[in-house]
Amino acid sequence: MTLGARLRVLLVEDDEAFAAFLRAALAAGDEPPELRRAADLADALATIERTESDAVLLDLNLPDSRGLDTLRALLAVAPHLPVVVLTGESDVELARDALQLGAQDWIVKGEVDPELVQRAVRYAVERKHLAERLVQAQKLEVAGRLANGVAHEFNNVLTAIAGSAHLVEAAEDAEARGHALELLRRAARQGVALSRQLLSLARNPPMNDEVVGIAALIEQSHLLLQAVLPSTIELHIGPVEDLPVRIDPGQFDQLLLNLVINARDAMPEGGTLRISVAAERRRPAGVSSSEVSNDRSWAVVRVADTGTGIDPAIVPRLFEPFFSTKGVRGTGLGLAVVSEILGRFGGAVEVHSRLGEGTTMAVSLPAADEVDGGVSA
Amino acid sequence: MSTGVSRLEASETGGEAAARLRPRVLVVDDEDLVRMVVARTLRRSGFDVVEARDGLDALTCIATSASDLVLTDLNMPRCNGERLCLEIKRQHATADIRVVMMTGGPLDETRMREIGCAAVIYKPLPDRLPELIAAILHDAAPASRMPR
Repeated sequence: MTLGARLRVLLVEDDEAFAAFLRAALAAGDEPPELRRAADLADALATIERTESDAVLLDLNLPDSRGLDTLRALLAVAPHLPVVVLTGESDVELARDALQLGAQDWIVKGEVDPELVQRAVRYAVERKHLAERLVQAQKLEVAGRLANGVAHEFNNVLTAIAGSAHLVEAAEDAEARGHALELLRRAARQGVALSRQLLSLARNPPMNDEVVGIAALIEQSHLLLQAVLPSTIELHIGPVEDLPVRIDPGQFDQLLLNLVINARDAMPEGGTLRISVAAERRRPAGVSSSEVSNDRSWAVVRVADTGTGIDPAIVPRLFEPFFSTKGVRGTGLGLAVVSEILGRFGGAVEVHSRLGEGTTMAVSLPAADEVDGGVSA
Repeated sequence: MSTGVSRLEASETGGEAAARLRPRVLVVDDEDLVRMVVARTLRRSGFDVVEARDGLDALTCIATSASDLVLTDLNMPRCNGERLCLEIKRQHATADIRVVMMTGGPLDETRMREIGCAAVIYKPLPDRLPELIAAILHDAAPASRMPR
């Protein structure tokens, strides 16, 4: 969509009367959008498949879906579509949860006027576009840092390949040639492992969530993490309790990389970085009780550094876009992206920090339900 | 102490006395494959090669047996190449050992010269590594002329 063009809005609302009221309200404004309507979730998903929309006005309670599941289902097929949810007057908590999950805004059904609805829709579209550009900018930043580390790793592999090829050529007998060939094969295997890691970051489409074991995710990102850490920082992984989680592995890599880069930057003099995973039943802070029951299992990934620690006064601002303590080195986007990725997968992050002692970032991801099926490696 | 190619050639005639005269190179890299390949390449060319996994390991090696040249990776855990070089140059007994820094990433060449590196070599390493090492032992190749 180009800004200034007529907005195409999909209204998902089963209540005929309210739909008619909204249609009239939108038509009466300065910039009446092109409106399509779906009466239930299945209809909405089919419409999204068929036609292009710039935004969605979404009633959460529909004949075939209720509450946040409605939003989740919609975002699963159209993660880039800005959504404004329509809620009842008593549902402020639900509306907040919807924002955490990725909705751009909410409108209380009893308070609708034409200007308000139009403004909400237009802002939602603009905010969503801005957020996507932020994510893109941050990906570039991470890519730049990664390139450095990966070039280093590849040069090691190339040294081993070129050197052992030379040894093969110069081998004076079969035994020496066999030894050299084995070195050559090992070097090639290291190169393959490295390129697999890179491909996992370049996954397309961007949302490709699947049920995977958290231990496998951590194991697979190990080489990448090593690539961004200087020699002065020791990386320890473990203990890792395995749990199935539903997530896009590429986005998990990005999330973990961002946390590790932050931990690294907090340890300019070097130190120790520990990554562990625990299976816990405690509901993490930042996930509301309306969303999940208390006895749900969580995979809690802890990234702990022995760095400078964070001033308690700024902890609440850490996840704001553009908030950075790194001066010119940081864009202030790393943790904002962590927060956004977690929002998409129903996760949360908690910060525990002591000045001068270090920081632990605890990322909680909901364990995949049994109905999600088995773990794919 | 500096040992040149002529001694290297002498060592190839065999015999215990000659073997002692072969220049000793300490190869330091935490990447096992790189270290093994480099060590084997240099051994084939007649150098007496000792291996170490990181800077601390290397300092122990140097303390127990003198080397003529240390070929070290820059980026290593515990004690990196820069700290290793500083430590070698700080001690009177080891200050004469040539230190050659190798790296697969970016590197501050000026800083390397300041801390006393004889040369910088970038990975992937050149095919003529043994000749380069021999030349550095000969004082014939200033750091600024090392290939990228």
